[in-house]
Amino acid sequence: MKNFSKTLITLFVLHSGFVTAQSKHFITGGTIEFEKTQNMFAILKKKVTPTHMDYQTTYENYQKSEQQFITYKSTLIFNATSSLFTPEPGKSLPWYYWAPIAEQLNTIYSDFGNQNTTVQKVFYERTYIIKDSLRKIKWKLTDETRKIAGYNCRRANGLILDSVYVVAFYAEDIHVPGGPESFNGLPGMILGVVLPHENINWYATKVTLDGVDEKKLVPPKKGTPATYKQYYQVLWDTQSRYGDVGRYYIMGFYF
Amino acid sequence: MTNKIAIILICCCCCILSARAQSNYAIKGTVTDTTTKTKLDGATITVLNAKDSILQKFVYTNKGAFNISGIKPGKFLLLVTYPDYADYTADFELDAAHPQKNFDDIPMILRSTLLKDVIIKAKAAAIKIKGDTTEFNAASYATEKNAKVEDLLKQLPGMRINQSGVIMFNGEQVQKVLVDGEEFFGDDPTLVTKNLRADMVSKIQVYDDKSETAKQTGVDDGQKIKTINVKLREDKKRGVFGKADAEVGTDKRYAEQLMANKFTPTEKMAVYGNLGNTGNVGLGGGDNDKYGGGFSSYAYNGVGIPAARDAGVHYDGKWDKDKQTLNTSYKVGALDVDKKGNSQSQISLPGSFNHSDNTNNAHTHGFNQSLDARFTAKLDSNTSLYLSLNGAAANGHSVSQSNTVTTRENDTLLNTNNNNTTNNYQNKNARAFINISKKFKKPGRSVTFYTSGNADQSTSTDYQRSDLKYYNADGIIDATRSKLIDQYKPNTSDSHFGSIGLNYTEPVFTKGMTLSVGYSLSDSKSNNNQQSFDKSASGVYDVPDLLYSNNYSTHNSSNDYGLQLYYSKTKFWGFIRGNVSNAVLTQTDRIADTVLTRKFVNLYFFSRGNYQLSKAASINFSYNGYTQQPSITQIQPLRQNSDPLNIQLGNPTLRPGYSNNISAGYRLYQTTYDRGININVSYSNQINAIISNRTTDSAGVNTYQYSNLAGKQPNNWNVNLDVYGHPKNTDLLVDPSFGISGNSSYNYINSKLSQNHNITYNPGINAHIGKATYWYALYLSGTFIQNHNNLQQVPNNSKGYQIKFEQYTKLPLNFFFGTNGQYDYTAPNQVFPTAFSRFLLKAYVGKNFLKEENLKVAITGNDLLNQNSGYSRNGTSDNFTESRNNVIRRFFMFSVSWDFSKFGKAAQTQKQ
Repeated sequence: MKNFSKTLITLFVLHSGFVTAQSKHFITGGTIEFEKTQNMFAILKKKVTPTHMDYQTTYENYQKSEQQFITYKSTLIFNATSSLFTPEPGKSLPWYYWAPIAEQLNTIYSDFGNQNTTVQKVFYERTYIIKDSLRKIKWKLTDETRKIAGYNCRRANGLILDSVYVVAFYAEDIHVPGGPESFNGLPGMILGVVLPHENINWYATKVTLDGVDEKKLVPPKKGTPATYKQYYQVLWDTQSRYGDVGRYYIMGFYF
Repeated sequence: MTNKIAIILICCCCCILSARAQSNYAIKGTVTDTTTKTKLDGATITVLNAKDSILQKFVYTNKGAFNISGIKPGKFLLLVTYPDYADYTADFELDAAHPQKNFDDIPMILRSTLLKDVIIKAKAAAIKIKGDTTEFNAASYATEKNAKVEDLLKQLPGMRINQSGVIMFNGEQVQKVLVDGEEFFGDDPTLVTKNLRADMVSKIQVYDDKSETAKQTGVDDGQKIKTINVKLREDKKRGVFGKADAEVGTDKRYAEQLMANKFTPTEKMAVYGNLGNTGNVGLGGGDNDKYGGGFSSYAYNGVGIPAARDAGVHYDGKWDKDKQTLNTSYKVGALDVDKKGNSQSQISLPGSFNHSDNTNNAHTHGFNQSLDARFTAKLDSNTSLYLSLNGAAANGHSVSQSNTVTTRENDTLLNTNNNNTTNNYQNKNARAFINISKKFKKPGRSVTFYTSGNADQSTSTDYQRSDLKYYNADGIIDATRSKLIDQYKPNTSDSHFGSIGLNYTEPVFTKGMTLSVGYSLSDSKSNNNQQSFDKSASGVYDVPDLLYSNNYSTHNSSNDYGLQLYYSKTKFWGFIRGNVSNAVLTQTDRIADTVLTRKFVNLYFFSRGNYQLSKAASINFSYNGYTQQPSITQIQPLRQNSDPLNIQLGNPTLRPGYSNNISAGYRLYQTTYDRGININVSYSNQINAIISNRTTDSAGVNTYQYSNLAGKQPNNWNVNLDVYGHPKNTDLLVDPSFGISGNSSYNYINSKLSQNHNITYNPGINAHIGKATYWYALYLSGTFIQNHNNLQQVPNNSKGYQIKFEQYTKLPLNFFFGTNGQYDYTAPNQVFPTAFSRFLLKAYVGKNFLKEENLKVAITGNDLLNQNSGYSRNGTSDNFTESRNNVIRRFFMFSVSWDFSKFGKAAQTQKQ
């Protein structure tokens, strides 16, 4: 009986990990500032399609008069189980130099505990509130790493919306499976995202570990309720008549 | 031993329990640092597909231990990572036989130099409604190469352009077209729309501007000037462009045009010259409004055969960091018009009518010049100066002849008049305006001082020979009343106007609210000396006819006090304004030696506002109420015998009327569908209205006077609905509209009150689709008028419709082909017993040459069906008139036109 008690204590000790020496402090709350950089030359080139050849002139005019790279800022605040991604207003382009992918149209609340999300999407004059489960992204991990905003990040390659190739870098030091926009699902905070074929990337510029005001970490409220599926239908109904450009727009609005 | 068995049992139980609770397939284990032998807390445990390394599950170790369940069976890779430690990987497989896998003590080794640094290389909405501005994106509308602004405008929803270049937006006429906010050649719309290239435009903005006076004095006068601002693209602000066009045709038609422009970001220079007799060139009437109609006495309005020549130069520039700007233009033009026409009128009388038949022909010639200059300067960071100077001179002559035969209802002759006049005139005028405004440190506080002066002078010499014969009821000439007038009428007039004003604005109550107080004093003096001389026996016009000679001097002075409250917040702006002015009007008749003095107190109330309901929709409202002061010509007009059958008398007892006008609008544009709605509603009425009072005597002479209307209020109302959008999945723009308007108007006829009520229904639908290579447009509209007049048995109800179409198709080998057609139909009614229909068809075919397709050769057939008969009809409660005039009919034209353009700045190359 004496041995039995000893064994129990040993098991207990093993499980509770009294013997572990915590050398590392993992982050489960803070604020991350992101910068989105987009190659407008390449983005606007996509609007020149066989059915919209007349956009060529607009595209060339952009090249003559505007800058190739534009950056926007956004903020992600997070705790262990949730995050809120909020874009900051930036340079507003004349609307003919406009593409939804090149805008910051989403305010995103993610609940990692319940695996669901609340996304406020601006769609021209309308605003939608999408309540759905967290976006599922197929991630492949690699052994590449790089440092972003002072954090070591591991590269993962992913696929969203069935066809859009994503490269993400996540920091294992931050034990929250979130990221900018709706990128999520990696074993660490995503501090860098590259959409190589869409000519856009997001990189964290600053990570602060100060306490997060939990009052601010709440889902956006205003908008017409919808699911991702319903929202997609809206996009399809309104944009598909613009042909190739419409499909490009759908991706930009939906992503 | 028993103890050991017990432990195993407990462990097994735990495992089984946990496995059941979650899933059959699970892994667990612990992670240990090999050097310190301590458990690693927070290590990342990931489960990947063995085949493609797709991430399946991940957890962090808790005190070094982990437990992952809910895995599907298959082959996997376990990846364990921890900052600064080398990755640990292990293959494993879960299947029905081995649903669980236990990784005991995964050893982690501190990484030294395993880091590899990797560097990764890395349609649109068409309309925006912002406040009361509608903004169109030019890039959303495709136009052919070398197209002009006009070609772009006609594609915009709600925009219509008629053949003489008049632009209507949502049913309201556009009065001003600006280029980058600046006047270009004054503000004559056609010189912008026909001259500037569509590919230079980035945006078209349409808004209600304040009047020039309101902008410069800071005193809103409630006027709305529908304005188009053409915003140029940054890359097209530096360049040289223009057009040269030569056309010759059958029927001696010709048209030559030259326009050349040089633009830099700070300067714009332009010249143009036109020559033509097709009625399409060199007829810009924009300046006529500016110079109060007296600038050029004769204009072409589609009637007669015109021959026009005109030219102009324009310069605007800014310098000293845009602190100073100058905008100036000089225009010169001459216009000759030959007119021949006939009109048939029915003039209402209580219970009966007279019929009048008039044939006339005339030749007019006018020549005019104008010079405008506007200068602005920022004297310091808070003080600005605005100075504008306009000068114009015009002269012309005309010869006209008319024959009028008036018969009674029973076809007996009432009177005949043969009237011949020749006229020579010279007008000169000059205007100056100065404004100085200063802003203070306190935001919203400002003071504006302004002063203006005008001087006008005109002389004319007329000869009139009028042979008027009256007939009695039996058709026998009434020699006692019949009269031959053969007179020489020299006329000189001049006027001087000066005003001075001050306006002070102070922020009050809350942010965004300001209160303005203003005072202005104005004074004008004019002299009008019109003499009439009869021919003496010696054949010289030297016998003064004092009855029809006038020598008046008029003095008008007024003091005006105003108060305005303005408020603007993010989504709202609006103001209320009230003005009181006391005006003193003195007219001295130097021939009769009498003085007429009238004093008026005039009240004005204005209010306008706009509220942005959402990103897509806005509403606006306006109210205008003002005293309608009787004009001097209504109180005491010049005694005239130039038209002995129509005589104007004054009414010194006229009292002011008061007019109320209220309007509201709603606009919605949904970018997602590229569709929108415009709704406009308006109502106006006049209290104590000044109305026409006609007495027709037994000889058929009409005597007109003005009277106040008691007990009734003339009114107008109007509801317009305009919807536009695309049918699903098409680029076709469909624009149905519906308007209803009504009015009640009153006038006295032989002391009886004629009450006229109209309701007009205007349904319409437009559709167009266009790309750079084609353009198809169809416009259908109907007009239904319900008319009721208490004095007439026969209502002048009217039904009609109009079909217009435009087609342009680019053919292979740079050929092109197009047609424009307009069909009008008006059904017969009880007033006009025959239907009216007319089909005007124009077609052209041609070819573009050169790489930029900028040399164009074309043949145009104008009015192919030769149906332009110069017919028009119009009816009021007072009379119905049908007229026919000579107009330009079928002709064919051969044209060569060359567009040239060269813009600076090359494209940046794509950076990697």
